[in-house]
Amino acid sequence: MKIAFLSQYPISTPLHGGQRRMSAIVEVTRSAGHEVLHVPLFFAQYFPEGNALERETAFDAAHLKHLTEHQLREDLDIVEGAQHSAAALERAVQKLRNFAPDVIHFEQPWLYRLLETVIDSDPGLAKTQLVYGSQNVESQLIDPAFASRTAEIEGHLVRKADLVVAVSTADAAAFDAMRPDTARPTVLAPNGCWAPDVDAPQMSNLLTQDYALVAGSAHPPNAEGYWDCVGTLPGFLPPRSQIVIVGGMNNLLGADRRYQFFRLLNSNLVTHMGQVPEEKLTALLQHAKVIALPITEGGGTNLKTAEALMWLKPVVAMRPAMRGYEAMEGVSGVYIADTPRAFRRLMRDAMTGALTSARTAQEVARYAWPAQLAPLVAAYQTATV
Amino acid sequence: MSDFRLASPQLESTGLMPSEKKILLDISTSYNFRSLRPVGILRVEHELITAFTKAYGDRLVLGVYDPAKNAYFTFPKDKVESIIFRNEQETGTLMERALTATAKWRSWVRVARFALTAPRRSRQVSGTGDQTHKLRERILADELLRMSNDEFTMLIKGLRALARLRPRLNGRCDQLEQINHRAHHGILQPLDQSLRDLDNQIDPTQIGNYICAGTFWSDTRHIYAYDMRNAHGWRTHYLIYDLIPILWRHVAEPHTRETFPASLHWVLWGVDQIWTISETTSRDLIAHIEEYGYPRPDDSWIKPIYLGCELERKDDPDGLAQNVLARHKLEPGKYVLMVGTQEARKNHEFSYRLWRELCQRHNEVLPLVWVGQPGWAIDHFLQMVSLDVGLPHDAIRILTAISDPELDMLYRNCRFTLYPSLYEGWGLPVVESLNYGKPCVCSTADSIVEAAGTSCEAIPLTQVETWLDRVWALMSDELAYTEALARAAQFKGYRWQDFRTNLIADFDRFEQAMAPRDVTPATIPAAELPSEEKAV
Repeated sequence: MKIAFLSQYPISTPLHGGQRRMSAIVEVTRSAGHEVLHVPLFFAQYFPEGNALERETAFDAAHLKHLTEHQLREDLDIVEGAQHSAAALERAVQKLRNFAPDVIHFEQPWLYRLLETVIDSDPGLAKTQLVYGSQNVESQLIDPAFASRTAEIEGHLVRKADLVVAVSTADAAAFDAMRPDTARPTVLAPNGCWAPDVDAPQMSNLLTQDYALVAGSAHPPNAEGYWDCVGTLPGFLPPRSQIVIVGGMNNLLGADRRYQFFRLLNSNLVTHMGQVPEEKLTALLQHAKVIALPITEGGGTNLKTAEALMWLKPVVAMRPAMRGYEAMEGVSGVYIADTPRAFRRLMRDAMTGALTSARTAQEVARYAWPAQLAPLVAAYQTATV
Repeated sequence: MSDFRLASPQLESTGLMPSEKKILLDISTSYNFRSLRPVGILRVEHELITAFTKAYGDRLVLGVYDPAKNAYFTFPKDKVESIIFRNEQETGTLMERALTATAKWRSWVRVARFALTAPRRSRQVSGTGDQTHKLRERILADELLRMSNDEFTMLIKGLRALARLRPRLNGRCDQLEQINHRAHHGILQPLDQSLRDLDNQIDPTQIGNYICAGTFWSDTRHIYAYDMRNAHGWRTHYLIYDLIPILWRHVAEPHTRETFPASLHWVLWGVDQIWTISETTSRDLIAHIEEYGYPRPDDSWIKPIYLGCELERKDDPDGLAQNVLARHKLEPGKYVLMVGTQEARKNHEFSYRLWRELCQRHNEVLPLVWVGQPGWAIDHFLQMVSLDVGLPHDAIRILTAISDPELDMLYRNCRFTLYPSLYEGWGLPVVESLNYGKPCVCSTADSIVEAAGTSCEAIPLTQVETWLDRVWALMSDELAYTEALARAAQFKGYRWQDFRTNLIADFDRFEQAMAPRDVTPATIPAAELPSEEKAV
């Protein structure tokens, strides 16, 4: 079967959660024996990591300039100024035509508005099966000011798709509520991660002190979760230990006025690593004393949670971080807090060694990408039936 | 989730019984600031010296911390009276500091001059080692003192802005702030060389208890004590005054608001007993511990010990204090007093607005007398007051260089006092005022109400009309004033003797509670001790 994927980001170097999920879906689908094509339509300014092949379908800079000048959003308003990206769109459609897919999978709803007319009117593409997937219910997560327009765009694609895929039961229920009663139920394919080789030789430790690891993209709720849970003064860290932050959330934290509170103390206790390459992240995960998930809001499920669980180390998480991983509650080394204060106490106990983990790889095997995405791969088989 | 407590430090096997080990009382603050008037923290540290010397005699060691050597040095007890209490030996390092330039552009010229000159002069000192380091610090201090504190703040703000582009500059800024702080207080290199003699260095293995009532946040002594607690089983005891640099950091001095929370972090991870100066501070401290996830010490080892409030009566052989009223054109019983460093937290601004409004509404408003040194970031406010044409001339008098006998005279002769502080650890001027039998109209800050009870006239700062009415009544209504005097007279006061007694009693209580451990050393055969410890 030929399956084409369209997303608004490249995946050759997956950094943020959306990229990593898309990348995993493509990889697992290919491993299952399908022929796959990924066509990213994205703003290269935001994703410089895209490779040459991916940049063939990158939007034109004038398109982004148009959106910026008119104070429009790059997701919801993507059709505005799209004439500047006509060449990129044409190349994307040509790739699809050449590939002649059986299934087109749109990840997130935004691109479909750009391509709907072309696909519906193209004799080679019009009869392909349409799959919609997202790791959020966008209309629930977006700023309320944009919720109704988002619901319209999202609902249109959800209703029209032959198959819808969600990351959590809550999201699946939300999508099903948008679809006609006769439609096929939403497929649940939660987030996962690639199983780390926990027995691999230790990479050199980048830091000399004990540390807790927090990973997060530049998604604003990640920063809010940090402020809520870690707070302005991480008193739970014993002297000569640290909290290490990786990912784009560094920029959000640094731009926040709370970052200036207790500057000296935080400069001793908090290390901002920013975006790190995969091998550096692996080294950081290998040597972390505890993996922290200070997540207090957001939809979907968190890739970070799956990854944290798979490393078999003590994990301290706020309950929203465990959405989709409820079965892990009570498993060794998984410590869940319902309040920020409880989170800080758990962090303190984990950093002093009072909380440990005896979790086994078997207990978390179900969270590996192949296992998590198996229902989706199976559903592709039947989508064309 | 466990109810995590700090682990007790591991017993150190020196062969000494804990009760035979020495008690190290940190007097670094008193030593470093020995040229200043013994008020506030200095006065408390002096009281601790007196109390522990009397209670523990030879078991007590007075120690001065040297951050350069990361070690404590013994201060001779026979010199406490002359050097610490009476300051007969000057520090010799006090340097004059420039006042803020009269024009903003001149201030910027000074900042630019520092940026150009200081690095160049510093680089001219070649070499490495302690002496070179000291020389460079001296040069930087010399250059820093050519700017006022406000101008230094301008410099640091500029550097911090640049540090967003070059984060390494943050470290430089921290260093500069340290040097500026020490140079400003004349403690750049306060330790007398004879004190730093290696023979005089305190052997940490001989110490059982460590007591600190000083400014542990001004250097690295808290880290040293933390390490010694872990390495040698020291029991650590701290006296904590308030959490102003954390809770009211926006109105705290910029250096302290960074160093205090960073240092308290180490303290809270390595403390066995905490004394505070009020229930308010105890409550704030416990809330801080709970909020940020610090290990919570056993509640029974966090205890408020109230300070005394008697003013130290110094001799006034020349009778100069008698003249203080005449010098400032004040008549006995016809002025209102407000004592405290001029800084935002003390809320001089509130009293200024109060007086301004009173003068608009009434004739013959008594003058308000502010007694205290100008503190951090007050220049603009003081300038505003001095330029205010709506405030009658001499309605507010500012007295900055007042001796203890003069303050005594000012208290005795005022009609009543004012204390609209936003927050205090204890609120000494309120109890001082009541101790003189003078009514005090004050804010409802927790510690003030705790210290003064019903004897003070506490009014919420949000009720401005009530303040205006009450202050005017105490000036103009003799019946109201007489009632207020009667209420102030009910104040029982606090004595330093009680502070010393309560502190020693609480320390003894701790010692007794820990006493069972005394038997442990005898059970460790000498053969099992590491060689280093056997040598002790």
